[in-house]
Amino acid sequence: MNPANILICALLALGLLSFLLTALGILFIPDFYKKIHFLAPGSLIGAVAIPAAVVVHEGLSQAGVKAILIAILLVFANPVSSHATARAGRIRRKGQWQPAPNEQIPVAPEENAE
Amino acid sequence: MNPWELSAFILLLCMIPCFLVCIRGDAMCRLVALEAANAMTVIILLLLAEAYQRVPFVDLSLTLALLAFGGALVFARFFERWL
Repeated sequence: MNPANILICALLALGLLSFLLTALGILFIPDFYKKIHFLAPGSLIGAVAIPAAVVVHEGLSQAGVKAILIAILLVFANPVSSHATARAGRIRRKGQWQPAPNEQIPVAPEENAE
Repeated sequence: MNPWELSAFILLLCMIPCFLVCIRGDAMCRLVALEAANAMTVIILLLLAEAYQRVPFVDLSLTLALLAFGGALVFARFFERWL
């Protein structure tokens, strides 16, 4: 087993673990907004690691370059569609995206500089 | 069975929770599960093209990545008020 094969198997395992985390989060987290967070590990770590394994195996051939394109596309698509989904959920529940006039929006407390 | 086929099979098993949420959850949870299943399907097609050494089939994966992104945006837009 040469080093390239070990690297390929490690990248595939990393990608599969992150997709497994995505699947478990989607199944077990009840809240919709929290569920959106679990799209990220699969679409960011997994979608980079598995095309990286393809690139290690193929080199920069036709399949390798297309795998890089897929990785770039998935990495840029995930934040956009996550934001659009969260926005749609809020508009569906509250009627508008902007906060209501007397709505209290919880913000994280500022950390002390010291 | 080479590692690519094995990875595709495990990823196919990862789609079962997405399927369960798609048939049981409320509307927005179903949309989230659909987006996760889209990402998994893109990677499965890439892995299968690599497993069987069919380079042109990688185009399927690339096309699905583009179309699934547009589909998710259109779904989110229509879920705001009209569905």
